[in-house]
Amino acid sequence: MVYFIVLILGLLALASSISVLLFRNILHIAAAISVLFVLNSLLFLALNQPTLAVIQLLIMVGGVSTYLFVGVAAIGYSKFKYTNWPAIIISAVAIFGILFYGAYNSGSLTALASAATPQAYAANSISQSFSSGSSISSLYGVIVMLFGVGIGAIKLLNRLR
Amino acid sequence: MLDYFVIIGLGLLSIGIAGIIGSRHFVVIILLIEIILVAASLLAVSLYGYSNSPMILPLLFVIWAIAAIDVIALVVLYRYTTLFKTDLDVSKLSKYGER
Repeated sequence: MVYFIVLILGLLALASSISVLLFRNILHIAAAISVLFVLNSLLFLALNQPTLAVIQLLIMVGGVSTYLFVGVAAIGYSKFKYTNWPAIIISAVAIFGILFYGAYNSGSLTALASAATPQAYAANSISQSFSSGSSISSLYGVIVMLFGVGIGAIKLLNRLR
Repeated sequence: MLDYFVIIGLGLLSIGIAGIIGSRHFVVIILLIEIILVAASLLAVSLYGYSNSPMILPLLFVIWAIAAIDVIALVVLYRYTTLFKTDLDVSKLSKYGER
């Protein structure tokens, strides 16, 4: 079950990172990369690191992508888009092959994965209060609702102007 | 379980680097750097669980600081591009110095 969830989250993350290259509107690009930040935080939760997931969510989604929405996507649109797709596909396959070969050739990574149970980040009392399950799920709900409000406000401002 | 995260991280990293090679849009290149930072943090946290070191937060703070500085530079330069009505092509950014 956990493997299935991780597979779905990883495929969604790869799809949102490709759609940064595919979209033409800057607002859609900013939405795709904020979805990628939320998926990265959910992958941290799947790695059994709830404290780091909450910090990642607060900094990346709350700080970086809010500033991105306000500073870039609310100003205007640009129709210019230049992507050299053959170069992107060829170099992506080549870089992934080199990195995958380098990671799995020596066999140390598979030995590492089969050796021990993973450690979680050392939680003190504050982060233990963060990492109880219901508060984390409510935090994700609040993030989703705030993004709905923000994107709706930006679209409304573009329509009013 | 570790293999999934390593493959996802390597996929994000290769998409980011290949996109920087093949794209010429100014905003897209900065956001692809953000994708590379996401991949770096994912790989670091997934390998941290199997290591003996308790130090993960300094590395993650460096990654978050680089991400924040990238977005700040993007917003400042994007204001200039909309102010001077210039193109978002990276190869034409040197026009700013010629005025």
